[in-house]
Amino acid sequence: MIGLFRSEFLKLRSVRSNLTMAIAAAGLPIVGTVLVAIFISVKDVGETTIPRMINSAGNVSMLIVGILGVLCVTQEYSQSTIRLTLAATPNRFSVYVAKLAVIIASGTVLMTGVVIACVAVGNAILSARGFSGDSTHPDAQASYVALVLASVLVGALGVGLGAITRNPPSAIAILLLWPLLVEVLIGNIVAAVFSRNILDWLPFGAAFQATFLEIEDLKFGRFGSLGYFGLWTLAIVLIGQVVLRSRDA
Amino acid sequence: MILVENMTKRFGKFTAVDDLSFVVNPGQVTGFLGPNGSGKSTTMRCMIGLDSLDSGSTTFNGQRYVDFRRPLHSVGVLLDAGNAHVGRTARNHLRWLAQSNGISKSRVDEVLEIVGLTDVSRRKVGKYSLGMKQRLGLAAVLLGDPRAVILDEPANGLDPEGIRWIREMLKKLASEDRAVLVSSHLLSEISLIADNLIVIGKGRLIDQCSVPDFIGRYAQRWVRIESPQLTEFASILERAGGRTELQTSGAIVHNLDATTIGELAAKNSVVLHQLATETGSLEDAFLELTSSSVEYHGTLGGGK
Repeated sequence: MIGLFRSEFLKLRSVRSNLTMAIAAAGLPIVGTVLVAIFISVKDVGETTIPRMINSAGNVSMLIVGILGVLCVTQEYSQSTIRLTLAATPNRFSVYVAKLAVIIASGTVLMTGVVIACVAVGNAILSARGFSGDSTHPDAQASYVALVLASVLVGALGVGLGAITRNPPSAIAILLLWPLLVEVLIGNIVAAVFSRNILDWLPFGAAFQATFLEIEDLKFGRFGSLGYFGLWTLAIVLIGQVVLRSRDA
Repeated sequence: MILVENMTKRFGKFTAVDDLSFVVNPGQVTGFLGPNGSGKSTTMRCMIGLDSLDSGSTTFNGQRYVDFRRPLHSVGVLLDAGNAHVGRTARNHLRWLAQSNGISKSRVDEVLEIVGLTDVSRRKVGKYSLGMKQRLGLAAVLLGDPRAVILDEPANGLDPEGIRWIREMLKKLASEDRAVLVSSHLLSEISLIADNLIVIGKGRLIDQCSVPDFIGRYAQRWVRIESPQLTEFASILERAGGRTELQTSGAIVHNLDATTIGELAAKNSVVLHQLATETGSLEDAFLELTSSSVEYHGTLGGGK
């Protein structure tokens, strides 16, 4: 299994488009944090400045990690390497688990690194600019952990969507339109018709909110919301496994 | 030994492989022939579990492919030279395959050397010619030093030197007591390398035998004659039941063997300058045998 894991990791890192995605996922929050730390007026800096920057850019990174998950599977079909992969490892469940493990491990390392880099760089720049106050919100660490966990879950969701659709454009479209269009539409329609806020019940809505600093209104709490999103992810991942196992390669 | 037993594969109502059984023995190159759409590639995919079977089984030395933990050590497969990511280097392509089956990096270097791609191993596969991709595919086959080899059209896109190289490679693999199954449309190539043939049409086995037996069974035979009294002798042959086709030089005679023709010539005082039995090629035999199994017919156009 370790050999298979290493093999899948080599596949992921030996293609430029995947590396570009990883750099984009890491670069966006870091660049954002650096720009904010450089250009914000020092008197406006507070304990929420850096965490908010990290979390807002981090939500975009989260989706990029999801795209990486999609590509991890769909590239195999678009480049016809899936036949070679399954010829080398006939146990399809093992292949699927290895892909999930690689995305989960890569997503964890990537997003943890991004958070640490953002906090370190942001604080260093602010200190250099003469800011001497507290730039750490009490809930910042919890929101950072939630960001990493949510990113990992979105990555796994991407793997599942990739296995179901086998097609990069379709899977990426679903991954992006689901949170950015479908959930927004559903949320707005329900709010308009029934005057109810169902954002906490929408999978991505729950995941995004779990990464926010302030979560007082969150129905399931920070990690409960992540658990709720995790259930959706698990369902998609299981469907992906069934599809991968049952369809001809 | 590769043993395929009663393999059936359907796509909806279409039966691509129909109760197919055959054996590929070690130490021999076995050619896998059939017209386009006859089910060769589907059979190969089913043999290694890429496509699910409706019934039947395939075993490699008694073991099903899906039961191998590290199958590259037992079975090498080349289904399509294009099965490589265009954005990945050839070396990395082989490395991920090797890692998945616990094969060392040094073996990757070895097979790159064997197929002659060492100098270009750090080049992306997208920049490879079809011939180079075929060589890369063969390198992947050789990675695990397998006892059985399955190759689908391995000579596609190769130049004459490459075709000769793959011919020698397949013979070498068979001489090392490996079971080699190779499909190809290049019948002249198959006739040079194969010891045995498996011929299928519309997913069914038509015949499995040695190449000489196959040609003997299905290729036409005729007798070539040359004589200064050709016109006179032709009518004698026609009366004896032969069918004569006059050619620019000499004639060819169907339905009579060389002995009969020689005796008729002696009896009628006909001088013969040539009397030789000729046999059709593997291609002739193949076309004769599979004419009723061809799914897609072409024309030369130009007429209604």
